[in-house]
Amino acid sequence: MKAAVDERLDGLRGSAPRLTYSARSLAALENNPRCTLRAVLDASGSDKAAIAAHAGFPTPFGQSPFAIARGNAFEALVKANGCAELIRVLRETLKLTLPEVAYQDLNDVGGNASPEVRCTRTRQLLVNTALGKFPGTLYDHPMLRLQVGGHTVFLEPDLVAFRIEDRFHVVEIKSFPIIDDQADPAQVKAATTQASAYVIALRAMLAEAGIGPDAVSDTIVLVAPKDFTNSPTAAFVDARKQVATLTRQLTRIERIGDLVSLLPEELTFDLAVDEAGKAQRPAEELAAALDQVPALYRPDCLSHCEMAFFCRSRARACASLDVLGPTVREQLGGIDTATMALGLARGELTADVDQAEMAAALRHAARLRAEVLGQPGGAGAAA
Amino acid sequence: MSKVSAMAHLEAMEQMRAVPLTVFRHRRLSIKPLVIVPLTMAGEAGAPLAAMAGTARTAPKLLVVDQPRNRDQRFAFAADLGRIVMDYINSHRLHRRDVTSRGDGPTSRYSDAPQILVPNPGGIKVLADLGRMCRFRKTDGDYPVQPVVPLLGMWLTFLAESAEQAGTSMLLPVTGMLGEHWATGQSVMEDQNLASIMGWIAPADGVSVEQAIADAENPAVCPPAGPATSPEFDKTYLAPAVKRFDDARALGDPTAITAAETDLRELIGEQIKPTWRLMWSAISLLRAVPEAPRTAARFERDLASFTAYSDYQDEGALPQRKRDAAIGAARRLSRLERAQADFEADMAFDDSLVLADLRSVGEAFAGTVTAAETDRVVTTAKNRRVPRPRITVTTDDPVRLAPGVILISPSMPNNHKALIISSAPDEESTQITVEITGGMGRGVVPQKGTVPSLGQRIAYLPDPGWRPTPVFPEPDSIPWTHSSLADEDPDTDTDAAEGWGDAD
Amino acid sequence: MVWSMSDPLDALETRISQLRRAIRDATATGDAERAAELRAQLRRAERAWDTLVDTDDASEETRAPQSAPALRVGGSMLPAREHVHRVLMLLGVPAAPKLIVSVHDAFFPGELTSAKLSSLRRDEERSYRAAPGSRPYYLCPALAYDLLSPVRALITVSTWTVEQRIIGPLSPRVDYLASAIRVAEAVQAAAGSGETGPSPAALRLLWRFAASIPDAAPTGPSSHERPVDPRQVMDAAGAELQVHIDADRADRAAAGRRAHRLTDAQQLFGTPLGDVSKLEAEA
Repeated sequence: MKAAVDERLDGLRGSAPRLTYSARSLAALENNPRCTLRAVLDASGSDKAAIAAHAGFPTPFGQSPFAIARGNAFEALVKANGCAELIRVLRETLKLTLPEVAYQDLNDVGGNASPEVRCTRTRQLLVNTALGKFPGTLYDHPMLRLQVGGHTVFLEPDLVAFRIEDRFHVVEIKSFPIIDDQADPAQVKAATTQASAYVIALRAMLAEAGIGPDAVSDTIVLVAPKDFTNSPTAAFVDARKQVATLTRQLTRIERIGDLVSLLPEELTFDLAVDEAGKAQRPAEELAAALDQVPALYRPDCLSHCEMAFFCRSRARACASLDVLGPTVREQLGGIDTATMALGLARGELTADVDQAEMAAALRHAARLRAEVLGQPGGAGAAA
Repeated sequence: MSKVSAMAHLEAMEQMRAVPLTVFRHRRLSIKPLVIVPLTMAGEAGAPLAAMAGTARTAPKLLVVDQPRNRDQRFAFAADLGRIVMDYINSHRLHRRDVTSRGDGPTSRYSDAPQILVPNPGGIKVLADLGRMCRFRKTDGDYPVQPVVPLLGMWLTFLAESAEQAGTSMLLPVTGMLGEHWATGQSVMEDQNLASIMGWIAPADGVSVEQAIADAENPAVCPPAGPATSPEFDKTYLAPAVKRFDDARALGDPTAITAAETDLRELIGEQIKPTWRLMWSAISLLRAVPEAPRTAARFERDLASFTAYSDYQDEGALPQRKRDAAIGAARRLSRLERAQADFEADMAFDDSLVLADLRSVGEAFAGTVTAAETDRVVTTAKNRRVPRPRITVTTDDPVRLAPGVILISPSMPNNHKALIISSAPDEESTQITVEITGGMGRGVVPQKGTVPSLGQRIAYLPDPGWRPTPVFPEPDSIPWTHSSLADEDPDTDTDAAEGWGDAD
Repeated sequence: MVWSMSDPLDALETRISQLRRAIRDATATGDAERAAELRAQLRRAERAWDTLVDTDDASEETRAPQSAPALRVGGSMLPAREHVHRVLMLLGVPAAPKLIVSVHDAFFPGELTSAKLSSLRRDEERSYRAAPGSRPYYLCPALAYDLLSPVRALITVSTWTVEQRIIGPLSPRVDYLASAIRVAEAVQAAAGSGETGPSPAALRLLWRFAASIPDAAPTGPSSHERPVDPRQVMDAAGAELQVHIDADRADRAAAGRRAHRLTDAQQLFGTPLGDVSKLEAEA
């Protein structure tokens, strides 16, 4: 059964190599969980950016080299000199005691940086630490493994700290500042969601060794620059809600078969890449394939999904109220398009029973606008 | 948002052009606003990259930080911007006029207040952060800054705090002003893109709205209005240019430094000038929208707070606290909520489209007077005979106001007050009987024109009214605008003392 | 638009947005040459706009002074490896390139950059393998206690004992505290030597050490204005060192015993790729 689903997913992806999830893409699951198009593209490991670009909607995403450099420089600074700054901060927040300074570098194992080797070593060290067989406190870039939809995903937290006789804490090092104890809520949320993936993976890894979930705290430690300086400070962030949400999303991925079985047999997002690396599939054909899968566009998709510009063009084309966003949408419950809303408002369309009340309210609203703007008839009635 | 506003967005979507959401512009627009377009370096708070500032379209000043990670250059930038901002603020501190003082406030006020306009809410955040970064800096000690730096910090903090209060006009994002008056066929988030919202309202000649909004999202055609520059631009142009500057400096070659600086200024100029031009186009568009009547009264409050802060500065101000103490925070929240309610009521009173929003949800109504008992008189508890006329208004609006609600009316003279007595729905329409309780003069017979007459069209909305200012325990006698560092942590200045972004 | 087209500024602004669109189109069709040409035109148009509106240079007056890096004299002609050696001998423990550069800048003349350091490390191993023992010392990587593989981020000196060159779980902290003590001693020595006293860079370095060691920095109001006391740093670092030192020595000694079974070259430059199954057996 499972194999059949995988076959379907491979078919959807076509000849392109499978993209694996990362902490970032797992975290993104939280953003529009009910979008089928996204669920299917992600589960099949399709390259959303390449698909969107070939369909005529290249994504403007990308990180500034300044932001990347700043992020790397800050992490290096925090971990420099035997994590001197980090130890200071964790002594303040996690109440690490003086003897708790042991440091394990898991960026590579004897020069071998392959994820499998690092993952084995990580499991060895962390399991033994949890069982009290090995003393350890700071684990730099441990390599965790999580099964998502039957595929292995490697995840690499910035740092995991073990507080003696207590629990593992995921430490997330971010370069956005905490100014006067306040950080940008959106950035904190993104960091927390990402850390939630680590919490889940860490728990899964320990569970294999029979260690319960309580060994991993669902409070994460956010380490970030204090005010406008380079000096780190730390804050606890409660990730319980996001761990629960992400766990739920991961379960949904396991049930991707339910979604896939509703799609046409021959459907594929293959770009038909030729030997020169150029996509040969006609763009219209690709777009038509994408159109077979229901998408749930929301304006905030624009800030995190590679498909958003494609989906927006579709939403615009059918005058969907989704393009206006939730504030307008919630005024027009039960109505999907501007055409329908305006038709009801102008009395050009007949409301069915469910829409009767909404239609009356819309007619009244249209009348009010017309009254004030001095227009005859309904709202901006077509001349 | 109500169905009337939603309708405007639907129309915009259908017609592919912006449509008015209000009759008036509810924000004061200074005859000489100071436009600031700030750009920051991605990834680092408080790392200004550039700013274009000025009070006229044809007189912009471009400030560029050659190496945004360099602390000295940051504060040199702050000093440059500080001079521009302080010159502008000081030009509003020349003329005072007397006011009738209630309480022990100042007896005179400045006759004009500054107005700084930035492209979008991100621009306000940048100025607020810059304010926070500058206001605690010292002009002596190990890391001295120019005196204008802490001054700028305090003023920007004052302005940024004022901007959080609804209805103020001293620091505003232009996208917000545009979005308040025009509805587009896109989301609030997309409306925060200046080029995009301008594309809906006034696309360039020969360019369709569709093309204009597509261009607005293409950084090659419309460089972002900031505060962040496009990652693509950073990668392709800015990073190499900054590196050239660093290399030139490392070599100490003056010719190379000058060339690198020129190059950087040109590059950044190319990114920032389209926004600058767009800002002034937007200002022209906004100027053409008539200003709402009650804007003037709100401006008086701006003048009062500007004068109060200005006088406090003249007495030798201390920088604002890093964060409010509990009581201060509660007081502040209450003030913000109050301002929001007042602003909404003001707008509804002035603007029949905003009123229509309230009417559509039953929080206001308009209709025709279908019955009137104009000579009704009652005797009060103090045995005084007063006029209490009652009228019945028939309206199609889905009124949800209950008996006992006090009403005001934009259709009547200013002091007009009324009370809902009863409300009777009848098929499609509703009959509302109200009793006029105020605004009729002192006599037993109401003055002419103070009572609505039969057949008159009239609108009513709830009186946001006078509410007692909530009383909070006084932690000390220092007013909110002022601050003391006494209870701050003693290490307020550690920022200056440590490493900064030496980019090592 | 809002203004009449008679305004030359408007004409230019129209031209500029046309150019931007054209650049977009050229880029979209992959015509890089055309795009570059249009960009040049755009710059000209922007410059013309500048002339018309007279964008002035407000920042000219306070442009940060362009301080060329001060060239210090004396000892600057030493090869980089000598500089590094001198720093490591001062610290007495394995150190990262960044710390080496900071310590060098704080106490020694001459120029040393991280870039020079990384090329140096490759040369050392090559030189050793070509003619083992022909130099009085080599700069080599620290060794991981478990796999005895090279820890490339940390540099040591070949003349140190293998135990000194091994990094156990506690060693990063132990070495950090030891460095703090040695730096504090050097600052104190410089202060005692009269003449110029410790350099600002040395005081800054000491301040950075003090900030992350409990009780090493002055506390209380306006503490940041008071200089860090080298004595206090030594005492505080020494106190914390006592907590870790025994366990660290034990780890290093155990690893050292295993290291002695290795070849000379392996004892200096580490064993090649670690065998993880070996670790599995040990764990």
